[in-house]
Amino acid sequence: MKTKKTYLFLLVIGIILLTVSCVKDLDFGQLEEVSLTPVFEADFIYSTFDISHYIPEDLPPDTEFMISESLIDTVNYDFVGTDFAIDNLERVELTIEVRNTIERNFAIEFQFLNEGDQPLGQLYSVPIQAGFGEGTAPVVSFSVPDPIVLDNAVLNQLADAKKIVVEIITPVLNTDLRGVVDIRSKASYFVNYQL
Amino acid sequence: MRILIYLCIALLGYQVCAQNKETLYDFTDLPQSLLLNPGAEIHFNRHIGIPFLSQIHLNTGFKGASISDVFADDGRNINDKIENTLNTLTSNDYFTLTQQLEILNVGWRSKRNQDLYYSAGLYQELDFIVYFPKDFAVLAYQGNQDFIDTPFRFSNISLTGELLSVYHFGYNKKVDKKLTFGARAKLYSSIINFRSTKNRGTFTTVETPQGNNIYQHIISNADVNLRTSGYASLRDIESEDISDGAKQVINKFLGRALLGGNLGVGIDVGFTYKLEDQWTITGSIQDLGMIFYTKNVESYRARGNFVFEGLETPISDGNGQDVLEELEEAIPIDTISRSYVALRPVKLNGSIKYSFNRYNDGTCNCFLEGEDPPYQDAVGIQVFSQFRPKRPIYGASLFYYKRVSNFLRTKLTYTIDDFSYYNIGFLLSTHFNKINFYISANNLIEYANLAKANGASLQLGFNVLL
Repeated sequence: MKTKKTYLFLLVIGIILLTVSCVKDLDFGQLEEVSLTPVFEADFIYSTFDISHYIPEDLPPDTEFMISESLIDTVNYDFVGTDFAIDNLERVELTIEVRNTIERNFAIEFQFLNEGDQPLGQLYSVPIQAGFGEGTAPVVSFSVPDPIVLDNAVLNQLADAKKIVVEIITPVLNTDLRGVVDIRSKASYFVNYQL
Repeated sequence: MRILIYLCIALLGYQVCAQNKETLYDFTDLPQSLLLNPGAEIHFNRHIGIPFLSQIHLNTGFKGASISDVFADDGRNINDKIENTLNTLTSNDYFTLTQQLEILNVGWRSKRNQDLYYSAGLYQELDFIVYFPKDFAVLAYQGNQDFIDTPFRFSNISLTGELLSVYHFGYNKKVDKKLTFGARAKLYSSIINFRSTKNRGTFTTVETPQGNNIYQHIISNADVNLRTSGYASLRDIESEDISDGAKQVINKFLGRALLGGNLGVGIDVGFTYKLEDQWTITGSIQDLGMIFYTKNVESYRARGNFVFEGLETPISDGNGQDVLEELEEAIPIDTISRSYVALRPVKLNGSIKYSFNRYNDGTCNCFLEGEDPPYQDAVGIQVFSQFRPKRPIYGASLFYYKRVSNFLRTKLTYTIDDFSYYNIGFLLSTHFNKINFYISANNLIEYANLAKANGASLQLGFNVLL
């Protein structure tokens, strides 16, 4: 009889051991407050405009000319149009840096397009200051404002964006001019992901 | 994405203590000690584990953090706590889950030779380990803005998981008064396996003042793989009825558990050696073997290099630039059906024990005829190691064994391992007539609030000992 009592007692201890184990002082409701706010830096567009490739061979020195073709190009870019971007991108900052050694002012224009090549949102323009000629330190220009901020409202306008059209606006040039325009840019994606 | 984040946060909630069964090891009153050391010196003539109830083992945890670190109701912002925990964890921290269920376990002493004891059985095991992918967790949580020129390493991605059944037959021989030797042959039948180990390569965002663009995003020498077996056929199960789908999965699992899975072989060996009457050393190696994955194999491997500098304009070929297409061309993901072989996670145990306080009041009928009565107390040291994908893990325990009576035997352990310096374990084994019940748990100090625990391990079961 005594043995049985002891046995029961120990079983109760075992059961208590199992049941007293618990998880205390926790609040899983905090999960609702979790937000991920990473910032991703990624290259955006880049281009090099070397004037020597555009000087007509048949023109004499010190002659003015215009580039007949449009320096325009369309690249695929559908990131800001993804569901994730629409729902979770707080803003995108575009930093555009242009280095110019050609002694002329230029400009870059770019705009987002939808699948059918229809423009979305505003046309962005970046003025490029003239440089001091080939072999000199390049003059560096930045977008105005710097950076260009695509906030949530703008991103919503760009929800259907699939492409970007980029154009280098060239002035009247001279066959004696030499140098390059280097366009470099990056996009900073500010994510705000709420669980 | 949401599921992944929930999973990561859930993983933060646990800590680990591997497959160390420090309370059961060399607890020779229980037949389960033979599974940890086939050369254990046991003193019963027969045993039968109650089917499905002779050993239920569960062990889970996360090395490096506790659930309380993130979810404590302490008024602090959870995002700050996640960030602190993220900073604390390293790529060598990991989450593990081990579960074992003994389905059958029997043993008997040879009639021809009383020094021989045979045991056999079948158990099911789930073993899962995933290392904390620190670099990519940081990338996901903080982005790359503050980590320019810092490589994110694919080697951080390392995980294995296996669900299998194990058929075993053990041989235990008392060679002489000093030495007991044992071995156990094992036949593994893998139900499902996946592993991603030995990944290589880096992803780095490099600032390039003289480059084409502001940065270069470089995937360098990437070689990332995921091997699976038993998964492809599950994926192919098509059923609109959930219960019917579940039934099909269970049927497949049962078929594989009954030797229809990918088979493997292994061996355990162990010994017990009495240095003197009261001093004993033991040692064992478990799961020295491998599984040959030949059926239902599907592996994925991505290799290559890729550099992204942005969107180039003007495009020379006029076809536009598709970065994802370029990435897929540079680092294609190959699907492979080639067989593979994987070693089982080998486990090593060892101990030295000093026994004292012999049971000599004449009331004990608890030993074999011709043998000396057992000691009632013992103290000693145990060590444990297990091979894992990145590196072995270790544990060391001090223990005190107490045979309170024929009816009650206990063992108290104090364990130091990678995860804790104050892990107290306790085993209680009752022997009522021929029925034995045992229960064991560790991390008892934290047991009242497992949220702060470094790990939790539980074993319990019923046996009939004759």
